[in-house]
Amino acid sequence: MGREEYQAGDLVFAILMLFIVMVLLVSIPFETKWFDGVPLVKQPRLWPTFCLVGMALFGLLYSIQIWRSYKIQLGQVQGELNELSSWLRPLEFVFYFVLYVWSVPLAGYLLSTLLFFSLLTIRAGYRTLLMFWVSLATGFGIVIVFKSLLQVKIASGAIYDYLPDGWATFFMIYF
Amino acid sequence: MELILSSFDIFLRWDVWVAILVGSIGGVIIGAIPGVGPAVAIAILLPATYSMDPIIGITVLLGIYGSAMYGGAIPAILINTPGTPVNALTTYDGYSMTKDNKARRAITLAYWSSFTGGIFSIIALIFMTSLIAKVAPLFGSRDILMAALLGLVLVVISHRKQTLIAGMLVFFGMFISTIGMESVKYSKRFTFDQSWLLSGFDLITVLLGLFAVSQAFILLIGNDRRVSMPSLKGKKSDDLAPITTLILLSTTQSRTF
Repeated sequence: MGREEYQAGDLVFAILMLFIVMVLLVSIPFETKWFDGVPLVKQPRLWPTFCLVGMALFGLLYSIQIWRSYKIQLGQVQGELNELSSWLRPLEFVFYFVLYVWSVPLAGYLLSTLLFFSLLTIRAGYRTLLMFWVSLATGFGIVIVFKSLLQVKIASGAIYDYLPDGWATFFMIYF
Repeated sequence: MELILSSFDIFLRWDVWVAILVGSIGGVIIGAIPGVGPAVAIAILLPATYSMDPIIGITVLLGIYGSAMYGGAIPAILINTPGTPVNALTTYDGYSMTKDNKARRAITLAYWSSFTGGIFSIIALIFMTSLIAKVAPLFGSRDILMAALLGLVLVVISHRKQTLIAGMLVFFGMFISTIGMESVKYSKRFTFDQSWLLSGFDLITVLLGLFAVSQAFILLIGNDRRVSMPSLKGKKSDDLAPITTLILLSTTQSRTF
């Protein structure tokens, strides 16, 4: 088997994956069940264990390869740190996405999407009036396509309860 | 043979051609929207076809189904996000070509590959239906298992010099598919008492998370880069000639499976 190609971040990734595999392996007795009298291939515990053992085996071999490559090329710490920081930077946007998902059942899909799109556009650095209107139009178009036309199941906003009866039903169904 | 000849009468109707056109264009648009695959589109549009002539309705749906696979290649090539699950592998080569300012060529290749595959499939279906009808019932769960194993092995060996990480991620993918309520004793597996994990992970959700959301984050934290779209030089046939054998080989292999 040929030597793995080393890329910045591989060591951190290998350690992270090994840690996750170890946690999952330890939790097998608590997160799966073994039933007496059930054939081995139908045991609910068998296949997750098989997958995790396979992951652990490949992960261990991968880590050993990575570690050997790492020792050869010293001075890679800065590269690892740079890579790690590029993994952490999107967390800010993960927070915005989670906030958006959390706000949909409260403020409704339409209002949340318009707010999210316009604020994210400003945050991304597109701070012209034209881009502001483009972001609003895009957000509105997406709501129309997915909620109004395709009727994708998205929670309606609690805010719609404050609208008059006819309007509330209309907004709950289409926006 | 009579059936084939009579089908040409239907094929020459103008309303069938309009249905093919509407279905194909609609399919490309639907396929290009990540998360809305052809199956979802057909489920949504099925009630709308009840009022149509049956041959028109089925033609529209077939047009959508056939062209959505190509439509899914467009976002895979341009923004590294597969439109449908089958386009996940298109991101490997397609997006790399976009980064090399060869997006137009990648889309042309995807189009001609889809076209060749689609036409060959239809011809194979016409002439081999009776043979397939005899072989298909013999294809049992063991055969499906072997085909799945072949797929897993191919994933590992196709990642040359990254086989170990590919192997680990293959097992990780298999592990993800075991999460949730299992179907033998209905016990929970790796749900960690989270009700939203009971039904397991939906393939489209996982794909969107892996490709679309990750790509969105990369674009959000990166700097703007203007990608030019150079026009094709020479004839399309010159561009396609070197890979014609590859397209035909892939087409016949996919038909075999």
